[in-house]
Amino acid sequence: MSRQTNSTSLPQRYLIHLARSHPTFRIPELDSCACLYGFGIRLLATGDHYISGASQPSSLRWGHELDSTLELEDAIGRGDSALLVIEFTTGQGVYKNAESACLPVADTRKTDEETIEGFGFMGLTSKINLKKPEVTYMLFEECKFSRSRVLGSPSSVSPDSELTDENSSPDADHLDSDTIGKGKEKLEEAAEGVKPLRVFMGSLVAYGQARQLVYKFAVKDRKFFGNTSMESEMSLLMAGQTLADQGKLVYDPFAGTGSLLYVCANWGSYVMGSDIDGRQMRGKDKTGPGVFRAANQYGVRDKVLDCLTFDVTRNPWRRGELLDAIITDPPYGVRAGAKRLGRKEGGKKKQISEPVKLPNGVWSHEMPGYVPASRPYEMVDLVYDLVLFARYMLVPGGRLVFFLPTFTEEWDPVDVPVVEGMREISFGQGSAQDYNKWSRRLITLEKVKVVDAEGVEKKWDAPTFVPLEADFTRMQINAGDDSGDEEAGQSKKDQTKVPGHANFREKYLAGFPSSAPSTPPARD
Amino acid sequence: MVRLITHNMLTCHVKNCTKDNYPLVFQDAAVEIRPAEPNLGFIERFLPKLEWSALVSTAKALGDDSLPEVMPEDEEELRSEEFLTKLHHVLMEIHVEEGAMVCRGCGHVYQISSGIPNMLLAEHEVGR
Repeated sequence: MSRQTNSTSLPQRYLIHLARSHPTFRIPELDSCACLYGFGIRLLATGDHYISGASQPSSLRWGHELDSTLELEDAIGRGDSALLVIEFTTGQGVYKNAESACLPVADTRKTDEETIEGFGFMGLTSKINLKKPEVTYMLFEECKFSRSRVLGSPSSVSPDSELTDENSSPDADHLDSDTIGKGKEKLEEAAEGVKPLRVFMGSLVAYGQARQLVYKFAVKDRKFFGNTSMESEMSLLMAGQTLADQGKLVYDPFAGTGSLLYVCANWGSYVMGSDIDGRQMRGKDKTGPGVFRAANQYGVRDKVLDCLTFDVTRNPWRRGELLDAIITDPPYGVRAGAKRLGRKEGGKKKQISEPVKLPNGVWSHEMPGYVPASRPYEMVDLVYDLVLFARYMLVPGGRLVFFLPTFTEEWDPVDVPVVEGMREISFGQGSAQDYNKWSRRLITLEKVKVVDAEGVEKKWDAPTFVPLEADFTRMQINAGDDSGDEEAGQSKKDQTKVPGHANFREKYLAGFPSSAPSTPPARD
Repeated sequence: MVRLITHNMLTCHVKNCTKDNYPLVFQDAAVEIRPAEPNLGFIERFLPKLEWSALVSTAKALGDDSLPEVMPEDEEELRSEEFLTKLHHVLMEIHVEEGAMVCRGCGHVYQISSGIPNMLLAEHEVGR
């Protein structure tokens, strides 16, 4: 049972206990870790069961097959999802007597010692050292909960007693808070007859190392941030999806206050950011641009190659395939609307095509403090442009990771533009933070190599950034069809739909008017 | 802190400016040298994307002539630690903090202030 005796040829089975916040983001992150470290990973259960945290509350830990323990230790040093990992060798039948093992939590507290003694059958005869154990065995019971009938929490019995509290009620957050507070008696009564569905036992491999980064990058302790800065846990989850690593180049075209740059730089990537509004990156402090001060705070100033002010639809990049990843949280038009250069069509003032000389002989655009006219950047255009831009700028295998705000009722997976050369990576229903009527979804796309009949790799042109207007057919929205060839695109024209993120700001401000009855908020 | 690696990736993007729009020329550049931890693997991987002559002429204009006019053809020399370290210095450690980048084609002046270049186009340069 010691982990040193691992056979290298046979895949090992692991149980990974994940953070409970944002459940739909956890498997993608684990997959990204596996991807980055190049080891195989296979979930030992169907995806849906483990992804839908709300309906299957007890499922946030699961069995895996991995190639070796060492790789997993690397991965767990990075993923911010995993709380701990055990290598399990035993499943059902751990208990000598299944009946006696099914102790409700209230009783377990009283009888820790008894429970521990119950493991005598394992024949562990070496000296017990609870302070500095050589091997830590952990036990998980998977129990079924229902809200109508409050059941006792599963107990985790571990010789390492300090762990008991942390694991004693892994699913407590899925119970309503009032039911939790009903007292011991009630619990005891309700817990009667609870039997675990499954039991996992094994030796502890490692604790997650990256959880503490959530605190390290906490926005409130940052030297520079804005009102739309991404919170640290989500930033870290996003950075995980980009596969940011030593010596890679990652870019955020809507950098704002740079939240996503610092976390990618933390994994050793070089990062660049741009924003149409330079004030977002600079801040008001006279001691220097805020993005650089925050980068200094985290010790990653050296990794920030540069931050630039420009509109990504009018960008100065010399060539494509420069980047390993693009990570961004586009402004979705509520607190800060997306803008692009140029004047609005049909607006009060027409866009000028010649420079204007002021009476004092100076060109108006060369005056200090000149800010060129800008117009709103519709979400549908932005998302579509972003995908095409990524296809042009990324190296094959590079990833585009971004948040997509969407009107929940109108969301459909086909809202993510399907273009040849870009493949979506998602699990189950995808990763989403639900705010009742609207939600924001984390989209991960990977650039795939496209080779023509002669074996020549296809190179993509820079996108034109021409607005799609109302012509959604250009988006080749065709669910499940990623061939991207023109005929397929034509035949699917009838199926085009208006994406859930279209006119997001208007819908948001109008409170998402709907004819259908509103649904209760899903738990995230 | 416009680094030369960034400068090497930037071109003038004014509408219809297609001649002599690369490389941009530094003007009144306030240069700062800041030591950076080398990642030579990154530099090596960047080699095929580099515009060599633009880099050399720009570095020279800023007072650094450590790089040869022509990129070494000998792969072994090119990928040697010594050469990549030189390249690392020029690409990653030379920062332009203040000044401007000017397009030789259309004359657009991209101002650099506190290390952040303003690459925004003026209204008449945007096009549709």
